[in-house]
Amino acid sequence: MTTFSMITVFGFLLAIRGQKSALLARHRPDFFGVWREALDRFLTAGILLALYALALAFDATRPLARENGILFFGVFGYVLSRYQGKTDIFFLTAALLAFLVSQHSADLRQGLGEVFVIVAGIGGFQAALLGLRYRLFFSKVPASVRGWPVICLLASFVSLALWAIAARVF
Amino acid sequence: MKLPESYFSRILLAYLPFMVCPFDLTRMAAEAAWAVLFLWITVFFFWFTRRLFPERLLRPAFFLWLLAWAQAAWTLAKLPPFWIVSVFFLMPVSFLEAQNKAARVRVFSRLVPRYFWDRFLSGAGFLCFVLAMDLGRVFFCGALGAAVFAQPAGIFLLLTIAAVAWKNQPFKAL
Repeated sequence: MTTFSMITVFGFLLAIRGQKSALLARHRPDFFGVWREALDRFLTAGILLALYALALAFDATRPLARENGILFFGVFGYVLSRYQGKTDIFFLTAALLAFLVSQHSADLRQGLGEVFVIVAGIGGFQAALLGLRYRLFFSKVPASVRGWPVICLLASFVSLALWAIAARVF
Repeated sequence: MKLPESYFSRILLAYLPFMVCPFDLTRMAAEAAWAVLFLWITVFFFWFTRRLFPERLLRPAFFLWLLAWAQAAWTLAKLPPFWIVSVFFLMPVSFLEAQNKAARVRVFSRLVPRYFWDRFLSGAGFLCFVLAMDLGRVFFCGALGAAVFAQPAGIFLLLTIAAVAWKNQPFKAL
């Protein structure tokens, strides 16, 4: 449930904050950009998890990393995001994702697998929402439901579809 | 008077992280109350100390402040750090932009109470919104037995209803 909720919530946040509606009106949604961002997110969270595993491997750094997990992922996540010139929301999602995965994954390999699934789900959610939102520009949507109401409704449909797919796959 | 759309946008985006951990009503209310209290503390802190930070260090200082408190809340109460995303969306983070310089405002200016009143309303509105959404979820899921409302899809449906109600407020702009 938490994994699926994270996919939905982060996918929605990144779809809304990652794109400007004025640009959407003129251009097709940048699906290549969505998946490139997803790859960047996977690599960033993966590097964070690898650094955490490295810190846990040494006696001197193990207690410090274990007791200050949020600070660890936050500080390194911030540095990595700034280095790549990413947005604040990218940094927050990557750091939170790495922290939460580190809490219940037994080793680095399992952690990377979980991150991959979540990041791929986020990318799928973003792509579906942005595509549907773009198609809506060519439809006659009543003024009373334009904007947030119709975006939330689309997100609900996308979430329902992903939930059904996830139930079949896993 | 019609409440502005941007106010709803901030509250809606700040509510989203609460969908990740489906707590019970009491726990969610406590977490939302903590997020709001922390928002007010942060607004107060950065209002008075912003000029002390060099422009280049303001953004790292803001995020370090968020992370340090998230770590403290996690260590002391095992509070998942999603609430810092809520605070991030509720905060007027435009003050982090380099082109927005801090203006000199007199202590007894009318701008000061208006600024703090706006932030107070954002926090209080957010708290009410979280409680209303969770009560709605409990009603549809528990009383009516609609299992979809235990999923993000159902919560997005509730958000749709809230957004329609907000967009079609009975009082028109003057």
